[in-house]
Amino acid sequence: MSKKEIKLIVAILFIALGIYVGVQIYNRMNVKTYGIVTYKNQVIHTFNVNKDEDYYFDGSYGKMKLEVKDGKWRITEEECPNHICSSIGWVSVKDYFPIVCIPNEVIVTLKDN
Amino acid sequence: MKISKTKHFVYVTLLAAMAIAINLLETMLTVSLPFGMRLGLANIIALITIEILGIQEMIVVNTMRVVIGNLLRGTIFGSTFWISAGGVILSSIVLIIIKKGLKMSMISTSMLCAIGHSVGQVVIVMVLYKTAAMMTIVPLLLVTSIPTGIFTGIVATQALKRIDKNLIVR
Repeated sequence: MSKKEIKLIVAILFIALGIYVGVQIYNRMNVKTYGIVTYKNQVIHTFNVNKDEDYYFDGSYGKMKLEVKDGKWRITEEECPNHICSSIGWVSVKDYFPIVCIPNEVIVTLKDN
Repeated sequence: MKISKTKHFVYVTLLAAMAIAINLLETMLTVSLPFGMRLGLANIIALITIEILGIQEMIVVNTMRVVIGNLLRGTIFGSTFWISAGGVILSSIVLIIIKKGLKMSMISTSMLCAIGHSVGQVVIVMVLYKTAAMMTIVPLLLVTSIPTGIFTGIVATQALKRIDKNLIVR
């Protein structure tokens, strides 16, 4: 690989690090306690991330289950062709990641205060 | 050497058919990767097309790949279609800018193209579902674009080496 390519890789890594740090700082500054399940841009469930509970709902493709446990949440038992949303696994406020299921048009995010 | 209009047309369709086939195959293969990450194998065809035929043909091949690919998968005009269209449009724009203005190696082009593809998709998801939280995924996509971009760049370079130079028309 040439020098130019290595420079480009370093630049990409720096930009990625910058965005990562920015997102982390934002998440630390805005500690949220409520999550929302959105289906076709409509909020269908609001959940407290510190309360253990299971939520069942339907997406465009089939049934889904949201499991909230010990401040973490995940999508399981979903009827979906790709199973991308369950492969993301457990998500928490500290380790936040929006769970997006495109075939079901369902998104699990944190609610803004 | 100048090739006839029909021959030129045949090359465009052949490349489009290859892009669609690779695209469909890849959807089946990379199901288990987290976040729906992919190698972006169909980008190889876009890189080859812009190199041997030109910008216009690359746009045709990329459009056909999204439209027919989604038609075959049965996801046409659904959210999946718009998301992949967003990715293809941004990666095509990146490819055109690099081709027109900047002199870059195949591997750099391929990496930027991969980034364009994933960022375009994320932008569409952000707009469709109004979630700024999708920014969280961007660093991850940028980092994974490096190895996948290098891989597709190497494959495209090797493929171009083996293509008969007489076919190249500009």
